[in-house]
Amino acid sequence: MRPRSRRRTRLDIVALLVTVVCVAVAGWALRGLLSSPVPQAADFGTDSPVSTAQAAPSSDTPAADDASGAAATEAPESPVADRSADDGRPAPQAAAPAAGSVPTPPARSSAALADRPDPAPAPVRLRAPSVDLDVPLDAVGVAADGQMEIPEDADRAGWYRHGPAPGTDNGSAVIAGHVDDRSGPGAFLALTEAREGDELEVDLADGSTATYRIVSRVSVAKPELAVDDLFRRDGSPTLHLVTCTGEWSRQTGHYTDNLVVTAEPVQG
Amino acid sequence: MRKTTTTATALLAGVSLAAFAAPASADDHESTVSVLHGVPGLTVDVYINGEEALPDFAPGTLTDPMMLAAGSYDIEVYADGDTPDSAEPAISAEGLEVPGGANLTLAAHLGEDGTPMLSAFANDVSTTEAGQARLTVRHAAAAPAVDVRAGGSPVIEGLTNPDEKVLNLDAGSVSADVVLAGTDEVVLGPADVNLAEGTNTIVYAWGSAEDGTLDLAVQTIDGLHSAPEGVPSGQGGLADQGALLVLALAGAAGAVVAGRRVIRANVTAA
Repeated sequence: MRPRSRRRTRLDIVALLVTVVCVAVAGWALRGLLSSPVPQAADFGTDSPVSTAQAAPSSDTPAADDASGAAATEAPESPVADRSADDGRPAPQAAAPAAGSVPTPPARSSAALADRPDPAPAPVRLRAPSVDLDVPLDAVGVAADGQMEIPEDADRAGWYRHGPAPGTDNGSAVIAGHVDDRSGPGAFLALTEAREGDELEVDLADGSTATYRIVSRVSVAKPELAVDDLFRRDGSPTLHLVTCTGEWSRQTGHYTDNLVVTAEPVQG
Repeated sequence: MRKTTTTATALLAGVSLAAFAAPASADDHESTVSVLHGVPGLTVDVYINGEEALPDFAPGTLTDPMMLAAGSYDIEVYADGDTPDSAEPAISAEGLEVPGGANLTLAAHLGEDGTPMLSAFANDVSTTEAGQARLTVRHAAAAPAVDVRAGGSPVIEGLTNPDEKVLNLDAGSVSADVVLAGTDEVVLGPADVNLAEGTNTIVYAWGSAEDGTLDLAVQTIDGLHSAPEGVPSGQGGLADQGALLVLALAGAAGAVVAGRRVIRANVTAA
């Protein structure tokens, strides 16, 4: 009976080994799940991006403790207040004159139809050497549903052409790409590996390169993405890279969260 | 040249609209006012409340916006060189009410019959949707009703002096022309008009059809943009976490199978 017993012991060992391997795989998988932030979206499963600007005053979003985070670090200004702050044509007479008084003559210019001013050079390629990201860029606008347009091809990323261009002096340049598509991972999946301090290089259409350094990487539940701050046209020059993260919702066909990488220009 | 009459005409209809166009955050005690000179062939001095405010104001020019306190204003426009002491004004408007918190353009221009007049237009400075631009077209010319065409198809029909039409369009450059209403007879253009995103591009047709002085003037108010509503940047559901979930399930299933086997082996051994 001994040999048979020994055989049983060998069987036990094999079974244990298989179990250990399986548990290890499962554990690794669970760790992966847990290491990404759990979505905070209150309206998980609904598709209501309309509320993004208004729904963001909460201070306990994942981004709240990141001082330089793109999103939710402060209650978004109302669009109206925003507008008065960045009116591109400030009046030369800032102080309110008394009723009926006459201001000093304002500057004047020809009202003739002018040629379109030369726009800043568009970005054509984004590189993040530390995570082997090298992605061609398309100039994109707004999709029919009011959200930012993203190139279909997950191997490309889109620069929001209505906002500032990378390399310019004011406001936030936004580049977004799909984290994946139906055929597999997208180029911007690499952003999940990017770290604070990593350099980003943006090649511009005029042949120059704008260099940035990552200062933060945060996940934000989509309804709480502070779009007014993300897409601001004025203020300190910033580059924002945006992709999706969180859980995949089969109901909506969207991920629950946005991953927002914030970078500042490297001087010189 | 057309004789400048001394008829005093002020069109204040636009001002009453101003309250609706005013941003809620604007100071209620003052308004943003720009002045456009759209009377051909006549350099003028503009007096506000008896004081010379815009000396040597040439046709086809536009002032930067100035802040005017809410209140009542008397506007007088004199041919260059004339003064209130030496002549009657070419155009005048008494008691022009400037509301608080509005954005106005005061335009000196010809009426449909060629009479110089002043119109106060309220500019729509409400926020534009992301990706869109606002086009305002104002008929300020001595000319009959017109249609405005963009890319050959009419976008505004039957516009008459001194009316305006406001459109919200996708931002971009459009080739626009102005035709006599209901015809293909082009009176202005075509011209490429750049409708920049987040701006109100205000186009004035001014001058006189009869005298062949029709022209376009453009005023741009920017900073009306708004942000896209979100960034939908994943489409497959195949990203790391989806794949991880599959692995986790496989791992768990493997553990169950293996566990059962261990138990069975132990039972057999016992």
